[in-house]
Amino acid sequence: MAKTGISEIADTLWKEPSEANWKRFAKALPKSGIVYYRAVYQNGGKLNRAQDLTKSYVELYDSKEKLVAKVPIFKRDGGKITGATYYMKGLLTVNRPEEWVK
Amino acid sequence: MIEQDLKTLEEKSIYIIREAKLKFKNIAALWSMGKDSTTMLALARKAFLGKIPFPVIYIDNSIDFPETYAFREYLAKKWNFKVIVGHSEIKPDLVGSACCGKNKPETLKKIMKEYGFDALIVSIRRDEHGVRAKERYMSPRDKNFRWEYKNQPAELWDDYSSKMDTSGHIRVHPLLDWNELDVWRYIKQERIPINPLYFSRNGFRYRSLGCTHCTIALKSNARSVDDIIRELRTTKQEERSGRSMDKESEYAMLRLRSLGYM
Repeated sequence: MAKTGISEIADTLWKEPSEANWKRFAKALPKSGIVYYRAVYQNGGKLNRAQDLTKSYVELYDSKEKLVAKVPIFKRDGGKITGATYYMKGLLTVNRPEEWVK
Repeated sequence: MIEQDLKTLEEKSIYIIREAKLKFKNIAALWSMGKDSTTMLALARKAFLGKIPFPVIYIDNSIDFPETYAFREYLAKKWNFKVIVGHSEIKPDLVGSACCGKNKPETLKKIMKEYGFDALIVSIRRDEHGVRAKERYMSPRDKNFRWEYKNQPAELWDDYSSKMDTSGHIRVHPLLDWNELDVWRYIKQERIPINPLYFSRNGFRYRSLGCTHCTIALKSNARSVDDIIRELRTTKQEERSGRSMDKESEYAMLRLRSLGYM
């Protein structure tokens, strides 16, 4: 996995997925060369509890569909966990492969 | 899938939207950014000469697709309408339909109360699901958003009931008669902008859109509206087969809708 600016922000996000860090991520995204994303959830995509979001992640790919970074899919404000896909606005999905569809 | 006359469908939907605007004091529309609710907005623009004369409500559960968020901002700017965004939180220990059944209606209730809406335009279609087939064009909900599907007003000779319990609201369903193929044919005819998730990528596309969690891509090579229309003419797959909540049990959707789900 190539180390880029976005990878460093991704590391920060794993440590502290705060709103400020997500805003940093959204700001860096347009110049990062990342075009595609894939959301990977636990339990085959079924949400059992909000905590499951903490185990899920998003893979980020460049225009040649090469994996660049993995980021969390949630934001934490104090004890509250919410989703964070809004900050990936502008990216295009790499649709889930068949084994995840089942 | 039967191909109905688009002109007839359009006329009836526009009539219902105009009637609703006339009959209710404070009306809003729900927009999920899917093909049906976007088509409904296009019909509303046509009904009111290019302007959408009511606010549009979007319930954001914070795990929608990034494309969906981008499409929301693009279309709201292009068509110049007001979007009220309600933020629903994912609550612990709620699975699948329970998550949708609790989070979205709760947020909608707050918005309805805050803005005092007495009617909501919702873009469901009868062919989507057996439970949605039981709906009326104008369907009353009580103050708790409950739908009494066993006790609904008759709608004979295009005579729609706008009466309601004063503490509740009316759901208006202008697209009830349309089917999936009609919607796509209309999108083509009117060149309606559409969420890019509907088009195939890597051999998969989304046929019915929800949040990233419960929506699953289905096998398809349809990369354009024409491809989708061709695909729908021959497919035997159900439209909502990519929505996990529909698979839980036969009654999951009935339970959801009776509790206020859209």
